[in-house]
Amino acid sequence: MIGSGSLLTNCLKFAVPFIPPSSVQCIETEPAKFSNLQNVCSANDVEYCFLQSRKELNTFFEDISKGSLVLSIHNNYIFGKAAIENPKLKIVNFHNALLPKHPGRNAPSWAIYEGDAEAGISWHEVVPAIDKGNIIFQSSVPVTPVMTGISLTRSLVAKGLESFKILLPMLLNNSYRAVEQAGGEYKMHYAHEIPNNGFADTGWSATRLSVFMRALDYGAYPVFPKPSIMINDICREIESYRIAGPGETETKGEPSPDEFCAADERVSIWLNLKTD
Amino acid sequence: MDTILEILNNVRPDADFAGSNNFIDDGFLDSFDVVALVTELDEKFGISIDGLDIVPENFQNIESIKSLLAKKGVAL
Repeated sequence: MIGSGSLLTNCLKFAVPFIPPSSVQCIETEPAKFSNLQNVCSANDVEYCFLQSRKELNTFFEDISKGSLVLSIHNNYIFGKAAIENPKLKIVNFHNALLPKHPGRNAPSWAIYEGDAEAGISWHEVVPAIDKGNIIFQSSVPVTPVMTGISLTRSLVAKGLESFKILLPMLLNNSYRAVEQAGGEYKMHYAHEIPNNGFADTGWSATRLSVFMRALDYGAYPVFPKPSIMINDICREIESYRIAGPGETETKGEPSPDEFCAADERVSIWLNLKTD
Repeated sequence: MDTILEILNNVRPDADFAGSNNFIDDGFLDSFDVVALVTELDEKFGISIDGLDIVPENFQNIESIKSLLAKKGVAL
């Protein structure tokens, strides 16, 4: 198992009773502040290592000579060609989108920003093109009008574990069927890309502003830089926002110079701008 | 009930926070839970815990959370 984050840890916890611990190895690929993967490995006698170097990881996977299932979960290491072509390996990756939509990074944000009615998860075979392999299992969740980047991510992590519990026996028995991804545009999202380059637009409707702000919202985690908005030709950073539904009323009077407000038939939104 | 414990139980009702001295190592708080906890603490105490404060040392147990709140000017 390779990757990082709580989904990897929880998948390992679920898998351990079904697999001899001596046959499992966990590779954590990113320093995660709140990870307890190493502790879980230690408590279950599973070998753990931290490897970040692409060269070391390539060598590790190229050198495997025993038939192995590799589960890649929240893993930003891109498998090298030799690893993918190693006939002893079956590599399965978890992706937090309904492929072929949103391959690449920050998929939950793009699902919200692009107004998808549903988001989801995909377990797929790994091929040289990123997130392009045949689909083994998919499951969806509705994208609600209050979801933020972090709340959708959290829902998808829960969906990931739920689906892993169904999928693991099939993977271990090699009794699954992988199907080619549906056709359509393969539009990769790169790590440096930000919805609308991180800029809100004063001409947008309140609903559009809400979608934009929620897509970029990962709470205290700086997944994206703080968004900005141009007001009277001045670029203002948006510090925070508040959204109210049509039934909720705003009790404050005129917006202050450090606020931008918009309302339509669906939502009202208040952007709190950084004071210069 | 202790306010902090009450908030923790709202974030993760399945976890035995009262019986743990290291919420991270015991697997009771992951990165998502910490974001939810920070949001609840911000709202409850009218403070702003920023990204630099989101480190395991500040969320290991109830005492470390209280220390963080004290640094933010919250009198408990």
